[in-house]
Parts: sequence; structure tokens; C-alpha cells
Amino acid sequence: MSNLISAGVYRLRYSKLFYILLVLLVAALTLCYMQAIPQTISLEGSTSEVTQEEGYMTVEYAEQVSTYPLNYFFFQYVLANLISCGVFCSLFLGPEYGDGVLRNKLIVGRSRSQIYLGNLAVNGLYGTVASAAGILTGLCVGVPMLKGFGETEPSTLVMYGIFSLITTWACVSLFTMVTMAVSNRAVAAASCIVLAFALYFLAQFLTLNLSQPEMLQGGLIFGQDGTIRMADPAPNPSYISGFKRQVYQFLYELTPGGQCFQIVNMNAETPWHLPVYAALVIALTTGLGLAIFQKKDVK
Amino acid sequence: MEAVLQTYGLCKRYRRFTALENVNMHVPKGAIYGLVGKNGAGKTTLIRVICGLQEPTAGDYTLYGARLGDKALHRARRRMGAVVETPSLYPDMTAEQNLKLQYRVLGLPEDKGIDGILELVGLSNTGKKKAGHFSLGMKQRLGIAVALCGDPDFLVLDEPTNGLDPQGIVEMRELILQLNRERQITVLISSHILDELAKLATHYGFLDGGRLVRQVTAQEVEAACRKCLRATVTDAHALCLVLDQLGLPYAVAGDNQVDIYQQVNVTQLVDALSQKGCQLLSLKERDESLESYFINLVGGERGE
Repeated sequence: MSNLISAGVYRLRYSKLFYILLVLLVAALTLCYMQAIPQTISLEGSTSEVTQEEGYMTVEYAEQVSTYPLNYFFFQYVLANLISCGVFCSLFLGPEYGDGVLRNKLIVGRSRSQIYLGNLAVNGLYGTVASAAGILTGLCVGVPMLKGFGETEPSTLVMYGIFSLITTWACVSLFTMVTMAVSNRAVAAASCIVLAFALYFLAQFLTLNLSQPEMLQGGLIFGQDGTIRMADPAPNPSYISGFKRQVYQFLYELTPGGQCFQIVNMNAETPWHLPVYAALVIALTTGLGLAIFQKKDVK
Repeated sequence: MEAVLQTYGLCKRYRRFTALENVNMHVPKGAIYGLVGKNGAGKTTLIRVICGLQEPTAGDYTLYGARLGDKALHRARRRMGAVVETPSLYPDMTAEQNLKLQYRVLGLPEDKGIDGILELVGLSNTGKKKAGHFSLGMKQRLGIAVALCGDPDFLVLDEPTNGLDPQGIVEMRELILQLNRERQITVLISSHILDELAKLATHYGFLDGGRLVRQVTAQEVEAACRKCLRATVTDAHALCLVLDQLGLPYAVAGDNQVDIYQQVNVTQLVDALSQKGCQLLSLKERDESLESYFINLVGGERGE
């Protein structure tokens, strides 16, 4: 298998797709950091201003924004990896079936499992390089621009950094399975890209639903005598509970998209679930992909 | 003779369609084995199965003595190269890069022998041109170059002259002959262009409807296709006596038919036969090519 990995790395060196995706990643992250610069201007304290007009009341609050937006943007690369891995895996492995180069490996006696795992390893290498590029961009560009991470513990950053790598490998494993299972290059590429965006939007949906507060802050009650008081908190009808919440939470932790969002926000409810579920995704998709590929008739 | 490839009752079915049925093939070492068949006969399917691209539905085969399912088969495959249907190339890489990549797949030092292979197939001057921009003939030759990486001694070529111009066909033929003669490479070549195959093959396998209807050597085909006069008489024995007296070479073709392999004076023959009480019913000229041999063979098998 080392020979196949060596061949894959050799090909990676000459792959324009590889360099284009890395450049796009770095450029996109740099743009994010530049746009976040105004958020580094801190607003001290919170102010409230109440004005009363004829039959109309306006209450204004000025919220204190984070002075260290890098905490939100640093791990954005893992979301970018979700999409870019879908693109890379399908297009880089496209010639296997599309141009028939898979035959060159089978004819000279390479086993199907060697070929599959070799391709997975090369795709995994792309994921690793993309993650490293994201981290380096964050450190070299993001930190100077956005004044660092503030009070975020370095151990937290390291932990989520490692999680981001494992989650990226989970994405790679998923898209490698799709690409090796589907003989048609165009269908495989379309499937991977659609799947990547589907996972992204599913994760967004899950994030929105799971982040709904259980209770809504009460509004203001205006008495006839001109008094104002806060209403009692009320249950949020959009709050998901019970079995449905467990399902949503499970999907949020299992799916690569959900893992990416948790890493970006650095707010995983149970952090150790992330690498475990990512490893589970890798094991399941690799096992399934191998099983399908072993039986596939190559034309 | 030692066999490089031997198949035993090989079958391949796709759902309800049977592509190969009970194929028993024997490819001797050092031969150029021509696999002949019409479009859809099963040539490419057979090649895909023996190259390990597909599993047979039933049956077995051995490659250099290693049976299907043995671990030794993977090692035996290192001794073969193949071009199946279309050349398998990375279009965004140059000829040299394609070969270097295949060398890495094989685990060979990447700079050993690549220049020689490119020169052998006539692609040593392609420089930085990407394989995707090659002409069809160049792609075919690069495909063979990739198949030659690792110095195989068994080469499988599936219709290698497809799409080539006449000069390309000649160059391809000369390359195959050179590989067979100079490097003793056994070649299995499939084609439906029989005239071209007739200039190459030392052995033939005729495939029709997924079945291998006959395996013959080139000498046997030549003997069967030899130009002759087929005489139909009332007494073949009498004809044989007359031909012996006239000193003409012949072979008995049937109960009352004899093939005469030399021009004959018809009047003299009729007179000699009538003296023995034998009548000459018909005299036809026969000049079979490989094409007519195949058509007769396939037509005869279908009629059975």
C-alpha cells in the first residue's frame, strides 16, 4: 500500500486542483479576518436608553460585543474543509473510473483494499494539509489582525484543533466512499458536492433548533398607571425537548457537518463525543466503501 | 507447452445476460494469441475477467500456475501488463509522468528504464505535452508503454488498433512483433480485424456468443485456408488413385469430396476418372482467408 500512497502523493504534487483549493481556503479565511476587524473595537459596558413618545415607547440597548472575534473565525476552515473535501475527493479520484487508471493498479496485482485505503490515505493527506493551512492562516494572519484569542485557554484551542483534524478526516472518508462506490465520474462529483452542502445545511438547521432557549425572556408590561414591569419568563414554543431533542443532538454530534459547527463555535456540549463520533464515521464509511468496492465490476 | 494463461469453464453473467459461457482457453508461453470474435462476442469481457477487473460468475483460471483466489495470483499479475479497451492514462500528466506514476505503483525505482520504454513506443519527444492532448495513436502507444512498465512477460491488448490510421496500425503491428521476438513477451491480442491479426498471431481462439468455439494454431488455420480445388465425385477412392497416379497433392475433405492443392488439367482428370468408372460431379476453387474461415466456423457452430 505504501507504493500506492507514494504514487498518490506524486500525483498530488502535480495536481492543480490541490493548490487551487488551498489558495482559495487561505484567501477566504483572510477575507473573513479582514471583515471582522471592526469587531475588535470594544464597547465598554452596556447602555440603555428609554424614550417615551406619544403612545409609543422605544427601548434601546447597546450590547457589548466580543472584542476577540478570532474565537469565532479561527476554526471556520473546518467548515470550508467540509465543502472542499467533497470537491477534492471526487475530482481527484475522478480519473480512477473516468479515465480507467484504476485498471492499471488492478492489472498489476494491487488488491482492492490496498487501492481503496491508498486513495483514502492520499485524500486524508489533503485534509491534513488543508487543516494545517487553515491553522497557519489563523495564526499568521488572524492573530495579528484580530488581536488574538483573549481569555480562551490554549488547551481549548489545541483540543478543538485536534478535533478539527479528525472531523476533516471523517469528511474525507465519507466522500472517498461515495467516489469509490460510484463509477460515473460526473455523478460521483455531483453527489459529493450535494452531500457536502446537505450536511452543511443540516448542521445549520440542527444548530438553530438546538440553540433555542428553553424559556423566553418576558416582555415589558405597561400598567395603566404608567408603571413598567418585566413579564415572567415563558416557555419557548420553538424549544425542542424529549426524544426529538435527543435525536437532534445525536445527529448534531454524529454528522460531520454538525461536528464542524461545534468546532467553529467551540461550544460542544460533550467535547469527547466529537472525536469518538468522527472515528465512528470513519470506520463505518470505510467499511461500507470497502465492501462495495470489493464487489464492483470495473469496466 | 507451458501455459501462461489457462481458463477452466469460465462464465460471466450480468443479471440475465450471459457474456461468457464455459470458456476453456490455453495461451502458450511465447505465443501471440489472437482472440477473434464479432462485436459483442465476449472478447473484452474475457479480458476484463483475466485481468482481475471483474470476478467470474463461475469457472476458474490460472495465470503462471497461480489459481484464482490464491495469494500467489497477485504476485503473478506483476508479470503482466494490459491495455483494456481504451488506454488508462492521467490526462493532466505528461507521458513521462504517467510512466513514473506507474513505476511508483509497482514499487520500482522511477528513473530506471522509462526513457527506453518511451523510445520503444515512439514517444520520447513528447516533452511537456499532457497526455490529454495526445492523438489517439499516441494515447494507444502510451497505454502500451504503461503496460510495459515493470518489464512484463505477458501483455494483453484489447483491440489495440482501434481508431488508428493505416500507418498507426502498421507501427502497432511492428511493435507487437518486436516485443514478442526481442523480449519473448507472450501477447494476447483481441481483434475483429482479421486481416491484421492474420499477420501477427501464432495461435487463435474464436469466440462467438460468449463461447470459445475453436482454438487452433496459425499453421492449422493456414492449412485449412490453403488455396485448392474441391472436387465432388461419385467415388472418392477412385479419385485418390487417379491423383496419386498424376502426382498431385490432395486431402480428403468428406465422403465424396477431395481437395486438390495444385492446378489440374480438367480434361485429363475426367478421362482418368471415367476409365475407373467414376464421375466428376463438381469442381470448385476454394481460397479461404481467416475471415471466411471464421465466418464458416461461426456459421457452422450456429447451425449445429
